[in-house]
Amino acid sequence: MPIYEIAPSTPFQASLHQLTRQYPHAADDVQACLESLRIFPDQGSPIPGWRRHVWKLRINSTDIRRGKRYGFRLIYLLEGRVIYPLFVYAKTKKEDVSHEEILRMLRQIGKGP
Amino acid sequence: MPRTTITTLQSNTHVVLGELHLVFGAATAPRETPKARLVLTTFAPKILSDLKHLVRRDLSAIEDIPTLTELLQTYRRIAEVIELILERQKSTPSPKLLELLGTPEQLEAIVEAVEEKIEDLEIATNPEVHAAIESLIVEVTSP
Repeated sequence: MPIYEIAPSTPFQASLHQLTRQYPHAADDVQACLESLRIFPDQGSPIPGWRRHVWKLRINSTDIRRGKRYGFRLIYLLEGRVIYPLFVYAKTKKEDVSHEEILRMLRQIGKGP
Repeated sequence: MPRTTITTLQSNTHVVLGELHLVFGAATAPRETPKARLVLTTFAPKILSDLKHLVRRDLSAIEDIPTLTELLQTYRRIAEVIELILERQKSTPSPKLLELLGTPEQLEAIVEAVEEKIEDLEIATNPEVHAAIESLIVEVTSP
């Protein structure tokens, strides 16, 4: 079975660092999913408009403990045999519109508008 | 994705939304009218498979933002109707709806799948998020 390479980036590490400040087990939760992505890179859902290059993976949070509906979201790029995690954020409230939580995280890591 | 496929997909989401409204109305009507009976025999048997088909659709090839925005709105309305059905099933369960759409737990699973689609479409249709992802891609893939 082919194993994909994971190429962590500075923005991804920064977003994970932000997440870990609030959710102590975030790094372990995300790391476990990255390991699984190396074998099954298409287990997330492809984001419309990116021709199956940009994906979103729902991750259970040990700290939130409310199922994947309220866990973390990892946005990653799939190029050839390489997975580039772009950033990760928490989806904590059902009512919140996804892009608001994404933009909040992007601003925290200095990448937002 | 060819234009005709996109048009079919848009049309399918509207059809499923309409079917949901009709089935909900017919299954919870105070008495079974000929119209309600017709709705239940025509649409009800395929409503569940139509819904499942809709949440499994791969939308990744659609790049047209107005189309994605319209799909987002329809998926949101579908989620709202299922939530209504779910609430109704929890307060005053209808055996007819239970037979057609399954238990509240099964309905919850469908809502969750629709919500995931909505999340993906929200990301896809927000220009600021789109621009940020584009710039991140350039940054992480630059040598």
